[in-house]
Amino acid sequence: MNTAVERWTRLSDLFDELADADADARARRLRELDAADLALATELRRMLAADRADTGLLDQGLGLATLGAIAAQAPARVDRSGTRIDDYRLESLLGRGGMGEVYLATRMAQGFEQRVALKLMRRGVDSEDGARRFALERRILARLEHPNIARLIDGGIGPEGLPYLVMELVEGLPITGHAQSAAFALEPRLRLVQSACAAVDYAHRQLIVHRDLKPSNMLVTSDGTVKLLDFGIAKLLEPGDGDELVTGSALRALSPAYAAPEQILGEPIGTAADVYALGVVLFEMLTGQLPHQRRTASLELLVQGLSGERPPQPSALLLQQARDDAGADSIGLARRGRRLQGDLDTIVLKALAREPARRYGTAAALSEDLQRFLDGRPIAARPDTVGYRLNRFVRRHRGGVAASIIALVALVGGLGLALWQARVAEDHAARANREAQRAEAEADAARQMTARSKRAREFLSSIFLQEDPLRRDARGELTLKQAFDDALARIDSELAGDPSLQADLLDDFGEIVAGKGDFARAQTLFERALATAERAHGPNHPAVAESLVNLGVIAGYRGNASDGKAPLERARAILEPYAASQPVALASALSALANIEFNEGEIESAVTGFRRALALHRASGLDDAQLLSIMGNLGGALIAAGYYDEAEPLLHETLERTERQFGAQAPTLVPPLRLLALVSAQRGRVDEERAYYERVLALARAAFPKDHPWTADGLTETGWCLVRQGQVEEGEGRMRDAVAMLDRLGNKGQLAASAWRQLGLSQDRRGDANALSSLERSWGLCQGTSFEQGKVCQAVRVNRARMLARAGSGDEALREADSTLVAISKRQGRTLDLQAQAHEARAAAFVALDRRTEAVAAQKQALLAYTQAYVPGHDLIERARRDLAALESGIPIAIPAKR
Amino acid sequence: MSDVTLLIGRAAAGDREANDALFALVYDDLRRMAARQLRGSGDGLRTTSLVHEAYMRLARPQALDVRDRMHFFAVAARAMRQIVIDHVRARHAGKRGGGAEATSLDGLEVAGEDPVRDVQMLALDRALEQLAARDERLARLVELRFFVGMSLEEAGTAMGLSEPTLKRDWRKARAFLHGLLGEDA
Repeated sequence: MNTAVERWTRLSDLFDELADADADARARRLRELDAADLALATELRRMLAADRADTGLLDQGLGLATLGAIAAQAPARVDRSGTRIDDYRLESLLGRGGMGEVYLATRMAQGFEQRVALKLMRRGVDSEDGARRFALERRILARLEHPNIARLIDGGIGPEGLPYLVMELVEGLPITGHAQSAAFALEPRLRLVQSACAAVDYAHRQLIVHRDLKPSNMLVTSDGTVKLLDFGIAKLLEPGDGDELVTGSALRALSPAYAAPEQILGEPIGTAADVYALGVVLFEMLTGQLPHQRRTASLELLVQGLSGERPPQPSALLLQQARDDAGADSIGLARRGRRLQGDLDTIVLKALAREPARRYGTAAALSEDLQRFLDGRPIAARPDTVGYRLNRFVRRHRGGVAASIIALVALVGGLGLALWQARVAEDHAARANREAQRAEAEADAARQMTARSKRAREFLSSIFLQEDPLRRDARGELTLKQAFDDALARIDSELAGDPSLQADLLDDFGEIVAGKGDFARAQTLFERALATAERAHGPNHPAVAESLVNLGVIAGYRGNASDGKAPLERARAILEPYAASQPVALASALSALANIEFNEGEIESAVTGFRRALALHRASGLDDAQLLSIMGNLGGALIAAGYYDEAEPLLHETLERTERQFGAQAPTLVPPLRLLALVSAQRGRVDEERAYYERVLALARAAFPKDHPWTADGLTETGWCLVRQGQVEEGEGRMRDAVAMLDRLGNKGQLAASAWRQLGLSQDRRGDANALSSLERSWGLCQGTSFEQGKVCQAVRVNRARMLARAGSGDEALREADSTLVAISKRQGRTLDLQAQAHEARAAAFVALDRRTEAVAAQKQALLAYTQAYVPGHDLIERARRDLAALESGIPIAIPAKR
Repeated sequence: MSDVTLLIGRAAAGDREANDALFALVYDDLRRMAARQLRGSGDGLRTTSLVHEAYMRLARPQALDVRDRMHFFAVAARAMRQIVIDHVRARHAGKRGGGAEATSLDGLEVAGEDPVRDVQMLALDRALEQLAARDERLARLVELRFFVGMSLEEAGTAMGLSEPTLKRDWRKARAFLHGLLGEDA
C-alpha cells in the first residue's frame, strides 16, 4: 500500500469536507487536525487558502505569446520538389522565406531547358485582396531591370491557387560570406557593398523600397557580381497606391536583425529603411558581427529593446576583440580595427543612425562616401556630436494616486554602472586622447555589461532550474517562494566578490517584490542595494543615486511620501553635476520629487519640477517609458494648476506616444484620457469630454472584466456627461451602476464619494428631493479620511451646503459654505471652479435666510468666479447669469445652476 | 493513416512503446500545426482547435472507440505541456529547440523574455508531477484544461467523466497546485 496515496486520499477527502464548510466548523476541525497530524493539517490549510484565492496561474490561459514563440521554431513541412507547375518542373527546395518557398526549377519549353528560381507563395489567391497583392508584386518586379537585381521572368497561379513568380536563378553566397574568412581585404568588401548600393539606389529611383534587405537576399555570384533578390515585401512609394501590401503580416516577415527602428515601431517606411539595412550589412562586412543584440522576434520586446540600442563603432569592437584574444588573431584584428577608425566608423554609424533623417539620404550617397574613403579623400559625413547616452534599462512603471489624478512614476534602474565609471574616468583623461579613450571605454563597458547580464541571467537560471528530479536536493518540494528566498540568500554568499552585481540584483529583486505589492520588503532590499552600492563606489557616486531614487519612490507607495524626500534630494544633489551628460537619471529623480510635492499640495513646485524633468529627458533624445511617465505627470500637474493651454498639446502627445508604444488597448492610456476630458470640460465641450470618458470606460472594461474602480469611475463620468447632454435617465442609470459596483468592491474612497456626488447633482437638477441624501452619503464617505481636504470632498461639502439651504437649513448651509471658502483660499492651484460653487452655496443660504441683498452679492461673486474659470459661453457661466438675473428681479429660484 | 489508428489503439491498451511513438508523432504534429496557424492567420491560436485538428488528421475518428479517443486527447495534452516546458528549458540552456530551421528569423534565438512566466511554467510542471504522483486523473484534467485550453465540458467528453465530478476535481487540483506554487501563482 502506498502511503503517499493514502495520505492523498485523506487530504482529498478532508478538502472535500471542509472547502465549503462554514468558518467556525472549519477552524474547529483544523485545530483537531493540528493535534493529530500537523504536517497534513498544514498542507490542508495551504490548499484551502489557495482555494479561496480569486485568481491564479491556472485561471489564465497559456497565452498567445508563449505559443507564438514556440510555433516560430517549428518548421513547416511542405516540400513540393518533383512536382510540376505549368511549364516548370520543381527540382529542389532552395529555401523558405516569410512569404513562401523558393525552388530550383527547370523550364520546359520547346525543347530547351532553362534553370530558374520559382517562388511559390504560401497563401493562395483566394481573395480579391490576395490577388491584388500578388499583382502588385509582379508589377513591382517587372519595373526592375538592373545588372545587380535578379530579373523577373514569368509568373502565374499554380496548384491550390497559390501564386508563383519565376525569376532569374542566382547562385551565389550571401554577401557577408566573405566577412567570415580570415583573409580580410577591405577594399573588395567595400566594393561589394557599393554594388549593392547601386542596385538599391536604382530601385529607389523607381520608387521601390525593398524593406527586407539582408545578406541572404544579397548574393554574390562566382564572378563577383552582387545580385539583390526577393523584393517580396517591397512597396511602391507612389502616392495613391492604396494597397498596403503588408499590414500586420509584414511585421512577422521582418528580419529583426536588419530591420530599421522605424520598421519595428511601425512608423512610415521610406528609402532610409533600406539605407539602415545596408548599414547593418556594412557593419557585418567590416567586423563579422551584428551591431546590436536583438535576440528576439517578439515585437513587443524588440520595441522595448530599441530604446537601449546604440551601435558601437566597428573599430572599437575589433580593437576590443583584439585585446580579448590571446592568440595570433589579435594582431590582425588590431590592424583591421585601426584601419576602420575614423572615417569608416563615421560612415557606418551614419547609415545606422536612429532617426531616418540623420542617415544618408540615398544609397548612392552612402556609396559615394565609401568611394571617397577608398580614394583617400575626406568624407562628407560628420561624426555624431551629441554626447553619448547611457544604455539604460528603464523598468516598468508603477502607478500612484494623487487626488483625482493618477500619476505615473518611473522606477529607474539598470546595469549601466560600468559606463558611469567610464564617464568619471574620462573627466581626468588627457585631452589629446579623449576620443580614443572614450571609444575604448564604451566598448569596454559594453563588454562588461554583456558579461554582467549574462552572469545575472545564469545566476537566476541556476536558482530556478532545478529540473532534473534525480538531482533534486533533499528539500524536494520547493515552492516558488522558497526558491526566491533561496536566491536572495545566495546573492549574499555567491556574489560577494562582485558588489556591483549584488547591488544590481538586489535592486532587481526589490522591484519584483514591489511589483507584487510587498513594499515593506522592497524597501529593505533597496536599502541593502544602497548600502552595497555605497560600499562599492562611495557615497557620492551616480550609481548610488539609482538606489536612492528607488527608495524615494517606494516611500510614496508605502504611504510615507515625505519620507521619500530625503533620499530623492540626495539623489538630485549627486546627479546635478551630470545634468548635461546624464540627463535621464537626473530627470527621474526630479520627477519623483515633483510627484511628492504634488501629493503634498505644492502644485506650483511640482509643475516646475516636472517641466525641468521633461526638458532634461527630451534633451537625451531617449524615447522610452519614462518619458511617457514624466509627460503624463506634467500634464496632470498643469491641469491641477490651471494651465490648460500648455497641458492640452502635451497630453495629446502623451496619448499618441503611449498608444504607439503600448497599443490602443493599454490601460496606461487612461490617465491622459481623463486629463484631456478635464480640458474639454473646462472648454465647455461636453461631447468631446464624453468621448474621452467613453474611451476610458471601454479600456477599463477590456482590461478588467469584473468589477473595478476604474470601470466605476468611467461609468460615473460618462453618466454625468450624459446628464448634461440631456440623457438624464441613462446618465443616472450609469451613475447608479457605478455606486453599486463600488459598493460591491467595498470601495469607500474618493471614487465612491465622487459617484454619489454626481448622482446627487443630477437629481438636484431635476428637482428630485433625494438629491440631499445622495450628497449626505457622499459627505459621509469624505469625513475623517485622508482625502477630506481634497478637491472632490471640498466640492461635496459646498454642494451639500447648497442643498441644505434649499431644504431650509440656511444657518448650517452658510457655516459650511463659509468654512469651505476659508479652506479653499489656502489651497494652491486652480480653485476658481470650487470658489464659484462655494459662492453659489452661500447665495442659496442667504436666500433661505431671507437675506436677499447678500444673496445677490454672493451670486455676483459666483458669476465672476465662473467667468474667470471657464471659457466664454460656457454652460455654467450662463446658468450663473440666469440665476443672478432671477435673484435680482425677485423671482424665486426654482432650479439653481450647478456643476 | 490507419497505422496511426492502430498505434492509438495499442497505446490505449497499455503498450508503452506504442504510447511513446504516438507521443512523438503528436508532439511533432502539434508544433508544426501551431507554426502554420500562426504564420497563416493573424488571429489567435487556440490550442483546443489545434488538438482537434491533430486528432482529425492523425486518426480516423470513426475507427476509434471511446477509450482510444480519450487516450489520444490525454497524449495530446501531455505533448502540449512538454512542448511548452521543452521550449522554456531550451531557452535557458542557451540552445535552440530541436531541429528548428532558421527561416526569416535568420538564426536568431527566439526568446520570449519573461523570466517570471518561465519560472511559473517550470514550477507548474514540477507541481504537476507531484500531483500526478498522487492522483493521475487530476493531473490529466489540468493538462487538458490549461495546456489544451478545453472547457470543463470538453474535458468531460475527453475524459469520459460527468461535469459535476470534474468541477470538484478541478477545484481540488487547482487548490493543490496553487498551494504549491505559493503566493506567486
